[in-house]
Amino acid sequence: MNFALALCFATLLPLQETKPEEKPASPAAPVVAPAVAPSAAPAPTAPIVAPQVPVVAPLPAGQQQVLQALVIAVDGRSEWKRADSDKWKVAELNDLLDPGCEIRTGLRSTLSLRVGKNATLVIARSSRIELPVIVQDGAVLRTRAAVYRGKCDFKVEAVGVTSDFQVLTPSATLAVRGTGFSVAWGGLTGLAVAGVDTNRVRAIEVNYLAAQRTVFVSASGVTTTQIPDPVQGALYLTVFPPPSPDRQLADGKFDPSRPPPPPPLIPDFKKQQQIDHGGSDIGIDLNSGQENAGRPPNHG
Amino acid sequence: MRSDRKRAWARGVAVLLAAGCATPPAGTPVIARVELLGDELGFWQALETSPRVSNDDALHALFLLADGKADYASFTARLVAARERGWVAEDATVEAEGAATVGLVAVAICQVVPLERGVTGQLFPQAPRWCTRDLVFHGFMPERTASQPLHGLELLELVGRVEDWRAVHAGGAGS
Repeated sequence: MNFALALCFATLLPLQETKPEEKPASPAAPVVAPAVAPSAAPAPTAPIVAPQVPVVAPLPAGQQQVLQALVIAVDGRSEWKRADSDKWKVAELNDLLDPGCEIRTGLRSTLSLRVGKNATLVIARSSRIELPVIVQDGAVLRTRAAVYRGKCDFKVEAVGVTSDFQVLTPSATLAVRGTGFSVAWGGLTGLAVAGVDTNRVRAIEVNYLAAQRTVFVSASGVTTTQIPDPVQGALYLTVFPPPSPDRQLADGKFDPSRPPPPPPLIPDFKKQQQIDHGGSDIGIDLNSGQENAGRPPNHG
Repeated sequence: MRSDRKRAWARGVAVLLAAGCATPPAGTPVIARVELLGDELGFWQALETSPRVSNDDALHALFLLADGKADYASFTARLVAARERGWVAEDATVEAEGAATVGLVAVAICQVVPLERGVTGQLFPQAPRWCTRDLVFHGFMPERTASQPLHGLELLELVGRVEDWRAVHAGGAGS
């Protein structure tokens, strides 16, 4: 018995984990600190100051002040002209532009403007815009910008007074309540408006003239002539179109592995109407469940 | 005679079809105005109101896009330079007042910017049809065919999109 116990212990002992031999700790290599001048004191941390939001004082009621646009950056070749002149002038830094001025840029050129008291514009390459109105009416800063072609980035700041900022294009008008957005208009694709992600909800109201349709762009939404609805455009950009209802099995369960049937030669307009108008009976015949319509009810 | 009347009707219908299917000319080119030869911005603005861009205007615009300048004084000089660059085939008949097609512009743009071409585009790099399809694929323009004419505003937007592409991919100025 004792021999059996000893044999068990002898077999068990090698199974115990043996601690590795602890090597004596080697002395850590000395860390050489960079040489520091004894007289150098640590740089004081500058206090973080929140950027001051410019505040514009309202004018007395009924009083109007005509404002101007200032050229703050020029890259490449850009020109501008006054409203009552046919002569174009090469844009230079610190040029002052009166309301009604027209600006155009060439290829590989951009022009930045400070418009009025609350807006900044960056006019991109091959663009032509006009600034018909830059005025302060009492407590309202009223600005109109017309984008005839090209691309222009806008930044409208909140400066304590009401801002009435509108952008006009050949196919749509924009009313801005947000901070930043980009407007592009061209002959191939029409209008494209993109907001910045710091915009608030319904920051930009876009009114498409031909379709007589108004859409609201929130945050970084995008609306274009092809896809005016920003939500629909976001859906197409992020996911593919939803699966066809024809993939449903007879019991109504969706089977993604089943290939979609070929499109019918003659479209089923009735079914398409159901799909377009939504509802839980997508793809199901409207008359389903109505077989007994017109018959006397069963009393049994 | 009845057969003569039928033949006359058939001839009239054939003439109408031939005339109706042809692309009408673009009219006097914008660049024909001497003061616009050295005025790039004035040229672009004048092009806005062209219902159809002429071949002369299209070549001038393409040289501005490719080189940043267009020092050619006449359509003949532009056409010779365009043939040397491979924008226009040697045997193609191009008239100054003819309407510029999407294919003509697409061939030039495909040589101006180093686009990634498809298999057929690489086999036929100067074919208007495949150049047009490659531009559509890369998002430069919506669905178009090579034989369609261009409006002035359409050419302007196309040129602008090429500039945007170059600014992003080649680090060009004006981005």
